[in-house]
Amino acid sequence: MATTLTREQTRTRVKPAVIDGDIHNDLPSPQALLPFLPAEWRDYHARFGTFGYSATAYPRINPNAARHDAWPPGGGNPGSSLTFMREQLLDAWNIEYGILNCLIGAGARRLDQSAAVAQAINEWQVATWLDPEPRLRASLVVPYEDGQLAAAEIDRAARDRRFVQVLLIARTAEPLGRRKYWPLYEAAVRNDLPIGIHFGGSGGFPFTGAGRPSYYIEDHAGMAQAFQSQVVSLVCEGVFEQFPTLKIVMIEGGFAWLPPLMWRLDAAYGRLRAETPHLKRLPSEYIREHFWITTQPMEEPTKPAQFHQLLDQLGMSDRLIFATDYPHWDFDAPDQAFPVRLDPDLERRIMADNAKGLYKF
Amino acid sequence: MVTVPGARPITAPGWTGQPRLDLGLVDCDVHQGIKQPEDLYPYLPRVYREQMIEQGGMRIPGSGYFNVPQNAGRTDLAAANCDATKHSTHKMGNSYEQLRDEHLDLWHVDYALLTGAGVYGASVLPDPDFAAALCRAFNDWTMEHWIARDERLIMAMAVSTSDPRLAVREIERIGADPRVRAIMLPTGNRMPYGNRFYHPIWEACERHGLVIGIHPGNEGAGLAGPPTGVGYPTYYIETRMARPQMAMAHAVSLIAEGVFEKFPRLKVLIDECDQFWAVGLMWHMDADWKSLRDQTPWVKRLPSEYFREHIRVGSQPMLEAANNEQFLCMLDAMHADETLVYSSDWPHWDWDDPATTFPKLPEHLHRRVFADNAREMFGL
Repeated sequence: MATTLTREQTRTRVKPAVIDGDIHNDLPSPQALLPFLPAEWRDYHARFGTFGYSATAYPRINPNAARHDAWPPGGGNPGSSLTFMREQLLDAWNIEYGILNCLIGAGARRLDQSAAVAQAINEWQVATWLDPEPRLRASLVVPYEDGQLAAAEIDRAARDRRFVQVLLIARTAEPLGRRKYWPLYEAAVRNDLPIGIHFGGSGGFPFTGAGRPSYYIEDHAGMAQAFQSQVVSLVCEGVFEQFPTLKIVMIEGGFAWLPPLMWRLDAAYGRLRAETPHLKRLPSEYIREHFWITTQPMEEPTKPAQFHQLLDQLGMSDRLIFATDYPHWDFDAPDQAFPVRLDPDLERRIMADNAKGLYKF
Repeated sequence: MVTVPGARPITAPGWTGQPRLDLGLVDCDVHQGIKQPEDLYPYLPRVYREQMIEQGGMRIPGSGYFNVPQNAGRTDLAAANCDATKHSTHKMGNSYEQLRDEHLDLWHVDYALLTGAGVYGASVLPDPDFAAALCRAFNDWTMEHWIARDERLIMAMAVSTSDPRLAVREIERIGADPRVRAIMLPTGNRMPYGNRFYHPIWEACERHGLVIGIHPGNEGAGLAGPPTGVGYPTYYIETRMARPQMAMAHAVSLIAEGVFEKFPRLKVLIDECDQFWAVGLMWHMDADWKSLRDQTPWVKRLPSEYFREHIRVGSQPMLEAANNEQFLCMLDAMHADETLVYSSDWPHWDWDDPATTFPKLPEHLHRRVFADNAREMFGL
């Protein structure tokens, strides 16, 4: 019987395996978390839920910020069905390894509840994602607004090496270089895990230094600014002098803003180094040594050649990690992610090898 | 080797170090400042004079960050070889004679936009009436002590946004003066500048042909929120890195709120926030707009088209790329022949002189950046 091959099936035949640095899994229902919660929190959580700053005052483009076709046929939120994720992503695009970044909040204001929820999410990830699917790895969800509690969760859960990084969020209550977060970094280094900082979050402040804007496009385009503040803070606070083996992955933040930021920071540091005597090197040297970047969503240059110029200015081609952002609306397909045709060697590094080196696959 | 005072040593190959005296020069960021609060007393109502005497000054909120000493003034101007003493002043930026001798005459500046100092903070003062009175006093003082003394000086009038009605009243009072070419607002404020709250001010600016100037000031201070979207950083260098972020927030807001559809003749000048952020932002916004434009249907064109038509970026502090090729690629990508205007930031320590700030540019581009873009923006 003749069958029509979908675009996904066609691509599978010709593409070498890829590693996906950003996949989002979700609970099928809020109740699904309850069996994994510590007993003393189960009743409280079921009755009251969690309270934190909401980052969703702006309308996403779609419900759950999802692709229209990503709702599982059997019901539940996009990203909540492993079967459907296999069909739509892992099998369809020949994903060798994929990293789950679960965005169910661990940013609750009540920090001990936040820690309990983080632990439950991690246990749920082991039972329902990592155990049944050997291609999946996961980021550790931690109560990031409390460095000590976050460190404890890292030490508890990192024994399972299928957790390959610690997940933070771009918009935190304080810039991530501040010392309240240092115990978290110490634990990450102790357990040899990189830190992933993902798009999103809300620390409660207006999310621009110029106040609160009105529309989602401003929210979305404004996320790159949060990433910039985090890069600047991590460098200027001396985090990389304190933790020289710390690795940071910026997930879903874009990167066209990074070369000018490095130039700007180097120039300012050259004239202001009396203020930060704890820094020993140029800021751009710390950045190029300690940072990795996932590709989705890439800025779209006006002229394709400008993408090559951007890679040249960035000088971090060994640090770019391909990501789809499945199941979200701005998903990047592996065969159409780049605005230009890349050199095959470079493409293989971005699609798989850089991630293999970082995550030790 | 350049021997002009303040010209920095040339570090990058291919950079000229020679001012192009024949091509025109418009400087879009020159600071004039009062020597002491008493300078404003003749221009203030008695109630505020008494408040300032009793409470010790202008109450402009600070954000508590480190800065370089001496009011961030150029250190070389205080040195003996520049003979700052002859200008009968002890601080940088408060002497017209010094501006004339050490900047306007020296570099053959055709026009310089006075952008003020200190009063940016009026917009985040709690008392909107006091804020408006301070701006009015500063404007009158500037006109009498600077504008009236030199044909080359044009002015960005001080305006507080805290009560748009009062801001409009001040624009109606002096905005028709041909020497007033802009208003000046701070980067740090309660809401980004596309918000409808501000539209009466923009309407008045468009009517008078005034450019909306935005300059770093009071970010993280007074009624403004923290200087970054992730809270308060620790060091001054971090707040400097936050300036381009606030510039981006304002640019995105102005475009997304449809300000340039509503006020099609409006121009915006963003000073002292660097410049190459414009490239990534235009690419990012264009990509987002393709997916999200049904949420803001009044944004009818690519965001980068509004940017190129309506937003001008002051050049200072100019960044050096790793090499000239990357630098020129950036100028090309930001459409510098439309969007970039020369700014010196006289007389601050991190100022950019007109000679050594850029590599040798093609003559067409040089004319656009150093003179023509600004002439068109200000209608000079």
